[in-house]
This record gives sequence, C-alpha cells and structure tokens, in this order.
Amino acid sequence: MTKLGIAALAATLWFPNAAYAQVSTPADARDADTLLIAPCTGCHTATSPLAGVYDYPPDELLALLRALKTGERSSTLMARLLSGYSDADLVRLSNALSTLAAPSDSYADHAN
Amino acid sequence: MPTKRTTLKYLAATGLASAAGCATLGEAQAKVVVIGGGFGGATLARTLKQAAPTLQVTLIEANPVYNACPFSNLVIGTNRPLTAQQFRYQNIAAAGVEVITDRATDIDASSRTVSLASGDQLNYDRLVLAPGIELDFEAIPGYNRSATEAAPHAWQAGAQTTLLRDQIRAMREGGTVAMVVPDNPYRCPPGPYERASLIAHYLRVHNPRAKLLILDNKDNFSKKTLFMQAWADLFGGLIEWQGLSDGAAVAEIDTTSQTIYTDFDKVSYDVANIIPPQRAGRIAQLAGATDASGWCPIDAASFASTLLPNTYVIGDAAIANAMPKSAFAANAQAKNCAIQILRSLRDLSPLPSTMANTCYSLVNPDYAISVAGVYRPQQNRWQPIEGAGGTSPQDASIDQREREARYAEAWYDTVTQQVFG
Repeated sequence: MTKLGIAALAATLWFPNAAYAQVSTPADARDADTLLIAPCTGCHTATSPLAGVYDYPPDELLALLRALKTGERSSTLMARLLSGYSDADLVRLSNALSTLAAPSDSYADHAN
Repeated sequence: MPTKRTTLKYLAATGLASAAGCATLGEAQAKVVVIGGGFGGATLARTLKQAAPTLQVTLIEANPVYNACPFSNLVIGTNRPLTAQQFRYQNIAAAGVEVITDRATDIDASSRTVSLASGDQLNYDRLVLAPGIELDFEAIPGYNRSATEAAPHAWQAGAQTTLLRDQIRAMREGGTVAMVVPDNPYRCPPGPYERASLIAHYLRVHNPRAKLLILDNKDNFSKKTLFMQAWADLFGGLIEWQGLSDGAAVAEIDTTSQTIYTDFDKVSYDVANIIPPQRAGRIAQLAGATDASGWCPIDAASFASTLLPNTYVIGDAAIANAMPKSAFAANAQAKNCAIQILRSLRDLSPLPSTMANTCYSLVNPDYAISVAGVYRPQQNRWQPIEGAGGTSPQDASIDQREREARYAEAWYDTVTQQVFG
C-alpha cells in the first residue's frame, strides 16, 4: 500500500464519525451561532473603534445588515462580505451578535 | 489588569461567551496543548480557556515577545516603531492559559506527548498546531539562512524588519531595491505588494531617483489591478514589476556581488528583499502533520489533521484552500476550531460553518485597498461562495481609500487587543 493510501485509510479509522453534525439540539444551535459570528468578531468587538454591532437591538441590527448587503446603506467592505450570507444567516447573525451584549455577571452565568 | 468588565468585553469580543454549556467530565479534565503563539494559536488558547475554564490549556511558544507581521511593512516604509508590532503573553497567562516559553521539538501522536527543547514532556488530549511558516532556504540557490543578513527576507517580523528598513534608508542615492516574491501559496498573499508600495512611499520622498524592481515568480497576484493603478498614480515609474512571463523567475542570488540571476538576465541591486518559498512551521513537519506539499492537510470543516489523530491545524500552516494565509483568517479559524475541539471532547461531530476573511493593504499610510472572501466547506475543501467577496472597487474615491486605511488600523488595534490585550 502506498504511503498516501495508508494515510487515507488511517484517516478514516481515526475519524469514524467523519459525517458532520446537523443542528439538532439547543447546544448545537448555540455552537452554530458562535461559529457563524467567528469571523465578524475579528473586527466588531465591544471595544473596537469599528462599528459596534453590540449597541444595536437585534431587529435594528438585522435591518442594518440587510441594508448593507443590498447597498441601500453604503459601505467600503460590508456589502462584499454580507453577499456571502443568506437572509436566514443575517437573522442568526443579528440575534447572536446582540445576545453577546446582554449584561451578565460572569462566564458561569452562561454555562449549563 | 483583567477585571470582570474586561473579561466580559473579551467574551463579547470573541463570541464564545455562550458556547461552553454542558461541560462533560471528559471535557473538565481534558488537556489541550497549543503549539505556536501567533494570531492563530494565541487566539485559540485564549478563547478555549475563556469558553471552558475547567480545561487545562497550555500554549507553547519559543519567543517571549511576539512580532506581528500585519502592519510591519509600515515599520519598513514609515516611522512606525517595531514596538508597535510587539506583544507579550502575560495577559494570556493571566486569563488562565499556561504559557510555556520553549520550543516544541517532537510529537508522539500514539502516546499523545509533546517534547520540549528543555527536555520536558507534556501530555495532551487534543493538540493544536499553529506553528506558522518555515522559510525554505534550499529553494533559491545562494539564499540560505546566513544570506539573510545581507539580503533580509523580513517575512517573519522582528530584527529582519528593522534590518531591511535600515538598509533601505542607508542606500545610495538613485540605488535599486530588488524584491523577490515567491509563487503561491505563501503567508499574506498581498503582503509583498503592500511592502513594495510602502518602500516606494519612502523612496519617493527621501531617494526619488531610486528604483524598486519586483521579480515575481508568478504572473498574477492579489489585488494586482488595484496595486498597479495605485503605483502609477502615486509613485510614477518608481516601481517596476516583472512576472514569470517576463522571465523574472529567480535562478540564483549572489549576495557578495549583489546580483540576482533570473532565467535570462541578471540584475544588480543595492538592497535586496528576498521572500523565499515557504512551508508549514518545522514542528508540523517533525510531527508528520505535513504532506508532500510541505503544508498540513486538514478536514476542512473541523481543522482536524488528516494525518495525526487528536490534532488540529490552524493558520498559515494549514491547507485551507481558498482561505488565504492571513492573520484575519488565523484568528477566525482559531475561534471556529475552539468550538470543534469542545464538540470533539463532548463526543459531538464537527459542525460545518461559513467563514470569512478580510485583508487590507496599505499603498501609503492614508490609502488602503482590501480583498474579502466568504467561504464554505464543500467536498472537504474551503471553497469561496460565488458572488461574495472581491476587492475594493477600481473607481473608488480617494476618500474611500482613506477610510479603508483607517479601518485597516482599527482592525489591527482590535485584533491585537483581542488576542494579546
């Protein structure tokens, strides 16, 4: 067997559940939302001088994201990025980003 | 000092505040070792610890001071100090990550052990490789490690950055700076052209008869049309670019006679910036996580190594297909991978998600252009989403170029604060 062949076989053995998960539980949904906003939070944080997405209620943020995507509201970059996201994605993005701004005392409040 | 408020801000910043519910016993006891403290590894270690405080997270980094590459071209072409690129790990340690300043020398995947140069050994349940790049000092005849003093690469920031800056500043009037640029893939695809721009920005004022010659081992490059247009508008004929079809493939470099031999020609230079071809950082090679390309193959959606069990690869070292080797991508991949690791520790399958990248390039300190991409794992490759992303418009106003320059600064300040602050 070739080296590549062994590697390929080994890979299947090491990843018996190579099939990916579907969102089927609330925990999955939370993970999915966290994954979706991972690139956003490279720029948009609570302290960033870039637009503070956390200052918006979800419905206002959703309206803003839709307007940026269509170009109704002009931007240098955001239309290019948001054109890769469906309207359902924008709903999830606005909810997830807004939730992060909710007051909370500590990480422990989020666990469980 | 990390306060409750800054912790909250950090959680909000990374988006992982709500991600770590339902900790299992296995997760609580698990040990995650991260090798490499750049934008990928440092982000991952910190976000993982914040999301799941009971995890034991260890970050292994050989250097006590990190020299960030993004914005380091401003150090070369302007008065930006190198200290603006430098970060330490004390805030990451204060966040509960065990930071070990040492070099990982070996990995035994069967016993799940990392060996360090000090002789210490660490066990892990999950290993993250974020070693960045290694420069290939066999690729260009005449350009080995000892040649980097005479002809800096400056492609790993630090002393090389200021060395190149100082050589350009000391260059004779009317001299020639030669840049050698590799074929894809390499760290920061638009980086060489941002560097050329900022060197020209310096020369235009301080050495206006000087020339900058780019010898490129390819015909197309990131944001080529925008760069070419900006070079013509801002620098006249100061920058000359030659691609592969122009015969610019570099065959040999002689740093003694200060000559670069291309396939059909030879070029005499006063200052040379040689960016050699690259591959994944050495520890990834030693571990057996690289394939014949020199980079690390991954399961796209999870960033799991396809060659080593219980191992993930993020950042420049990973083969992420259409996603470029950028600090932005490494930061986003780290946040994604942190979730996939937590899911793996809970025996949950990976959850594929959309990812995005943005790279700004400064043509001068007040003029920037950007390229963006949105990606999805399809057929186990990171594929661009059609119709999304792309570059700044060619007809943008000077005001828009300036706004992008300010946004570029804001991104750098934000991401470095998020990772190291």
